[in-house]
Parts: sequence; structure tokens; C-alpha cells
Amino acid sequence: MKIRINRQDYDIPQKWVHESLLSVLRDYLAFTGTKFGCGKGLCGACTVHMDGQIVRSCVLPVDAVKDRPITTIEGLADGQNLHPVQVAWKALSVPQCGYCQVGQIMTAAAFLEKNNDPSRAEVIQAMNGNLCRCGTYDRIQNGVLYAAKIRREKV
Amino acid sequence: MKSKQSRRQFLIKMGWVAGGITVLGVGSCSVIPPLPTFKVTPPDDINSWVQLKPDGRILFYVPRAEMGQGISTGLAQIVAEEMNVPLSQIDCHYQSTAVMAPCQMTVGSQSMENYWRLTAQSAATLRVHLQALAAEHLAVAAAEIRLVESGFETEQGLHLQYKELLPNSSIVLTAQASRATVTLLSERDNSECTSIGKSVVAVNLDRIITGQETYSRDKRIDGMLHGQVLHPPQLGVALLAFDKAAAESEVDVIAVVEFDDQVGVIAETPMAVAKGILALSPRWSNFDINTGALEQEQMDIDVSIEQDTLDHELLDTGSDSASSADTTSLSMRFDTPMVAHAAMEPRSALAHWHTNEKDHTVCDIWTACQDPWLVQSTVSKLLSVGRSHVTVHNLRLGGGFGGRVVCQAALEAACLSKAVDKPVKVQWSREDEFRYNYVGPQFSTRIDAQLTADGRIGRWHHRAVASPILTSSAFIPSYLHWAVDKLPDPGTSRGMVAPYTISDKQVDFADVRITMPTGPWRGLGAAPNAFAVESAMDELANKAAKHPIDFRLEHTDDERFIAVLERIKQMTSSEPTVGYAATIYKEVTYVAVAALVVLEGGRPLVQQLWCVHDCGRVISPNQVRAQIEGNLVWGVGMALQEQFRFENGIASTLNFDTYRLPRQMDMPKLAIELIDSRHAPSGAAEAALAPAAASIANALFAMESALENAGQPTAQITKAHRYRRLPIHTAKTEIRPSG
Repeated sequence: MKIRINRQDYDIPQKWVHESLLSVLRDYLAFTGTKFGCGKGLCGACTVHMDGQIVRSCVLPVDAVKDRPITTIEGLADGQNLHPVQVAWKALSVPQCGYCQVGQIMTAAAFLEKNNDPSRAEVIQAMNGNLCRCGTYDRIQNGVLYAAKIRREKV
Repeated sequence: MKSKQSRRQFLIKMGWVAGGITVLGVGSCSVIPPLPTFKVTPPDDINSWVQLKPDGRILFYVPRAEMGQGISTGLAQIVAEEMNVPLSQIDCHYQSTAVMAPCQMTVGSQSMENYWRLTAQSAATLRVHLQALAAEHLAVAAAEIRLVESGFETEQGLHLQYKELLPNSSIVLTAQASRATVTLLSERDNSECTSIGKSVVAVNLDRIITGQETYSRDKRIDGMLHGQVLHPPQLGVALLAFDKAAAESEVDVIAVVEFDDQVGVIAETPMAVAKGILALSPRWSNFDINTGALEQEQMDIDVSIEQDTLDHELLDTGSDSASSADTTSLSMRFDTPMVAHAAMEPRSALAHWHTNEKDHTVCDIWTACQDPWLVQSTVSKLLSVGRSHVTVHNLRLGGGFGGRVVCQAALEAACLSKAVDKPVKVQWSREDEFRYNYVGPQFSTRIDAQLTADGRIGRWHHRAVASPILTSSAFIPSYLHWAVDKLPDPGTSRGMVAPYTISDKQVDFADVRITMPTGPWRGLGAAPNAFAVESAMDELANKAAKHPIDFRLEHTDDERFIAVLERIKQMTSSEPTVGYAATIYKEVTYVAVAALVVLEGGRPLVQQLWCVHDCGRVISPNQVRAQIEGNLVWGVGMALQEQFRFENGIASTLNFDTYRLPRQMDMPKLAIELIDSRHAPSGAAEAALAPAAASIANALFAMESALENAGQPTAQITKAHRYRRLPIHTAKTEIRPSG
């Protein structure tokens, strides 16, 4: 089978087709930007986009992906140009240990596609599924709001 | 017989700290196990940290483990200051045992305190060396050239960049100059510094936000296999038998390895490893821990008092204020549960045994831990090779919080790799992380205090029972427990002596070793102890009918403490129902916290936290603020959510569904103020946590009291409640819908 990741097709050998998308991404294809946090879809560290929607890749069997395109953190930026969420994350120094941040960024990026001018309450709601043990939540809220502003000003 | 000698002193007497693990060669004394690195790096061993690369960039081997506390950024700012280069000119590398002499384990928020000057010296030594080279190059006296950005110039305007000083473009220069003559530019006031005291973009931030940063789970090398060691289902069971042939016959399984009463599976893919482990169908010995005994292990201070088992006397100032008729007594009991680190990255390691160019068998280990030299010495001892044959490359930690002083996955990977002479990666699951690491211990405390007629504390008796932290069973083998357990554990007692002037103050405690391994958790004993002390202070202030901050001010003459206390009161002067708490963390960092709590659907919701923080001179304000934010959020979890549970010798909190961490919806607003202090830099990575939970509990009482006093029919409160047990459960309290 084939899956499409970051606008490129990859062949998945038979022995990997029953694995989680996360395992295929990390252990077979070496897209290690997406992280393993809990293995149960509870923490959001493994969040990627499937057809523009956020999915928990640790609990998604790769054979369920079929022909729906996957975007990982490696494919989020537009070439050398960081995605507005990444720009905001850098401007506000959001990460501490950084381990959950890829999942946070992917969740935020998908959310802003649906809501380009969110309130803080909407941001909190949208980001509530992504855990951060370092406690960067305040900066995450500000980062999403700032990224929304960057996006609006770009358009 | 009570002992006042601290356990750390005892370790020094045993030669462990003074000698460090650095001089303990394998077999030099077989009874001494590999121990964490207590010793700060000696000044003679710091030259390799800062290097000039052929392209003129500065290479900085950060002497501390980076786990999100931002120490690589803070120390890089010091290097930038000394070398007079922009921060962007510095390439930070994480710790490597091959390049650096042992560095003190990264714990206790002491990196700035213990390593800022050494880092400055390392960089300044290189600068002075370059200055001498430049003088030679320009044929002038060294004193006649001055430092400019990334180079030097003479009064005549001759200019030389650092990179032009390299004798040969392929040589990396390490400084050898004497430090005796070096002046440190970092010693200037922050206002005169170009890098220190500025908020900067954190080191390696670009790599993190683009997914390029290599955490230990991300490390790959050619020919890498995957491995897993079979872990027991419960504490206290032994492996009796397993089906080796069945595991070996699984597709893609390379080897089934037996070592040290354990068994592991090595395979080409992680899923083949999992199948191999399953195929082992292990038989375990009967669970031989009496569950009744486990329940008795629940810390109960009243039982300890009754049985007179508090064998460590920390302090007894003697009684000069015999209780009189006009005193008010309060006896308060506080309990905090076992707690897990729950770092977002479950631990992992990649080990590679191979033969080097000198025909020696050597091992490279890539992992992420708070003490790579402990991994090195443990592997060296476990597999009987010289320490110099084991190199640990310490990567960025996906959170540490005290839970990574030992990295069991690294030992497992080393043992498995040795068996097959191939690189093997071991990745723990989230469940492994909860099951097989040590936890922060439970604390049970009783504080008996007396108020004098003028509303001051006349007597204060703090008694507590908890478990070892610095002398954790995770570090100290059972055959040595008899020796260390005679002495008080300074980790458990951290913050146990209230930072207040009380004429008759007595502190007794016991640290009882229990079946579940206990160990360091963010701040060690500071947070549970401050919860007890600061909750008690609030109750006493209330009893004395005084503002809780004024009451604290009456019991201290420490100017820095007074400053944070007065400021937190000012910041919250317009808030009617805040709760307060404060601490002096490790006698060096001063923190006051205030909380505002509301009830939402009967559940407490922390609406806002204020924090005034004095950690001395602030090298990297943005990193310090980030640490305070993180500690306050951690405090919300500690106060309202976190509790590690184990039943019948097995953890029952195994993932984030049962071990609840704060989420976005639990987030308070944060208001943080740093005191601009001229004092030496101290720690910020744990201090603000200590008072946070007590401020929340005190705020809950303040809020309920206000509602009770107001008698509002909509208030849902009949009586204000003191919350003396964490995590706080309001469901069992006397909050009732009124009417």
C-alpha cells in the first residue's frame, strides 16, 4: 500500500500495514518530528493532519489512512518560510522541553484553518486535548492568538 | 537516639561525594555502587566547554542537562557575554562524557548557582588566549588591543576576527590559558552587559518548532535494532520461567537475551519486539508482598507520633515560652499523596557496542537523563568494562523534573546491545514510565502551634513522616540501606523548617523506606513541606485575625523575604478572597504566591495566580519567567489533580486518563513579577512550585469564608472548609447547595 505524506507518496511494506500511523512515520519512514507520548490518544503529542483534520497518529492504524493525505510537522512550513504558528511560537518562546510542542503546533495550525479569528476561550477549547507537562499553556494561548493575527494580516 | 547529622555529610564521610563517582574505578571498592554525580566540576576541567570552530563560530558544550529549564540558553548568554559574540554565533551541544569531565547531576535548580561562573571562566579563558594570539599576530602588547564584537582591534584601527586567529583552519582551538588572570565580563552589572539579562530566543528553538530536534526516542543509526526487556507485572515478583523458543521463532526476532535474572527481546521492528515479548509467556513467582503491609505503608503521622518513630530531629530551639493560659493552640494535619513526574517523553536509549580503531570494545549510548556520568559508571560496572570505554551522549530531555536521575532504559539498551554487538534502541511505553520509575513520596504532617495573646506564634512543632528522596532505593542498593537510613534524608526534609522566626520551634521527622521506590520529584520535599507550613501559617493568621501577609511579616526580618511578601500584598490589594503562601527555596530563592479560586460546578477552578520571585540576579529573564509559569501550572495539578496510586504492588495510574495533569481548561491567568536583585543568581526551576498548592488551598478557604460570611443564598456554601489533604476534593466537603 501507499500513503501520501507531505505531498509525497511512500510505499508501506506488508509487515507495517497493521501498525499505527505513528509507528510507520517514526520507525519506518524516520519522520521523527511527530512524538510518542502516551500510545492511547490521550495527550496529543502525536497529532498530525489527515485531510486537514487533526488525528492522533498513535491510535490510527496506517491502513485506515488510505488515500487521505497526511501532513506532519516536517511538511508544515512552506519551504523555508515557517508556518504562522511556528513564527508565533518562536516570537513568544513557547516551548520549554519542547517534546509536546509539535503536537501543539499541528493542533493549532488545523484549528486556525477553521477559525481565523478565535477568541481566547475558543483557543482554550481547541487546545485542551494537548497536554504539556512543562506548563506552557499560557504561551500556547497567546501563540495561537498571535498566529491568527499573522495569518489574517497575510491574507 | 536522634541524629542531627545530615545524610549528605554521611555520604561525604563515606568518600562518595568527595571522591565523586569520577575516581571510583571499577572494582576499587566493590561495596560502593555507582552513585549520582554530586560534585561540581573542578575549574581545571572546564576548558573543553567553549571552543572556537574553524568557521569562527563558538562551540559550547553545555555542562548541564537541558530538559526545558532553558539552562543551555542562560549559560550560552554568559558565553556570548564573555566572547562578545551574538548568541546566534554559538552552537550549543548537549553533554557528552567523551568531551567533558563529569558535571554535577542536573537537579535542585543549582545550574546557575554552581555553573554560571565556571561557564564564564571557560569562555573568558578562551577569550584571553585569543587576545594573546591576536597581540602576537599584530605585534603589539596584549594590553593594547581591545575586544570588539567577535574579534579584537588595536588603537590604530587594525581589526582581527576570531576566525582569523586559528592557526590552521582544520584545528579547533581549546583554551589552555591560566584562569588566574582572567577578568569576567559577566561580572559587570546587567545594565552594562550585552547578552546577560536580556530576553532572547531560546537555543535550539527553531529545531523544536520544526520537529528537527533529536530527542532520545528520535535517535537512529544504521543497522539499528529494537529491543525491550520484560518487566515484572508487579513489584516483588521474580521471573521463574519463560518460553525462549517461542519468542525466538517469532518473525523478525533476532535474539532473546538473558542477563542478570532478566530477559529481553531484540528484533528488527518495534512490533516484532512486542510479539516476541508476548511469546515469552513468562511465569512469575507469587506476589509475596502482603497487601496489608502495603496499606500500612500509607504514611500516617498520627500513627508515627503514637509509636514514637520520628527518629530524626531537624531542629529544636528549646522552649522558652512555656504555654500559658492566654495562648490559643492549633493542631493541624496535612497529607499529600505519592506523585509521578509524568514527563511527556517516555524514556528511551540507543546503545551501540562496537570495536573502535584501537581494537577496543566500546559502547556509545544516546539517551536523555539528568546524570549521564551515572549512566556511564553504571553500565561500566554492570558490564565490567572500563568507564572510558563507555560514552554517553546526552540528548535534550522531553522533561526531567527529577525523574531522570537514573535512566533504566539506557542500562537495558546497553545490556541488549552487548549481547548482539549491534545497535539496539529501547523505548519505554507510557505505562512503563508510570510503573517502573520511582515516584515522589507521600507526606503526612502534623503541625501543633500556639498563638500568644498578641497573636504571634509562641510555639511551633512540625512533625512529618515521608520516604527517602536523595537516598532513594533507585540510587542506593538495599545492602546499604541500613547505613544511610540512620540519618535524615535532606531531600525529604527540604523546606521542612518553616522560614519564620519563632522562639520555640521544633521539627522532627522520619523517612520510611517503602516497597514502592520513592525519589526526587520537582523540588524534592519543598512542595509537600511548604503545603503544610504555609497552610498552617494561613490558619494561624486567621485565628489571630490578621492579614495572612502581615502575619508572615511579623515572623521574619529577612529583607528579601519581606520584599516579596509586601509586593504580593500590593499586587493583590484589590482582590477580596485571595489565598497566600510563600517560601524561601533552599535558603536562596524567595517566592510569594497568591491565588484566586472560584467554584465551577462544585469544582474548584484557579482563576488567577500571582507570583513575586527573587532568584537573585536574572541572567535570562524569559527563561526564568517560563520556569515560574511552569511551576505555577504544576502547582495547580498538585493542588487539585495529581495522585499516583498503586494497589497490590502495581501502579494503577498508568496513563493520562488516570493520572490527571492540568490542561488548558485548568489554566489560571498568571501575573508574575521578578525582583531586580543584585544577589548571586539562584534557582528558578522549582521554587515557585513550593508555595503554589498552599496558596490555592488557602484561597479556597478565603473564597468559602467570604461566601459563608455573606450568607448568600446562591452561594452553595454552608461552611468554609480547610483543605489539608491533596489533591483537594471538594465533593466530600461541606459545600452544599443552600436552601
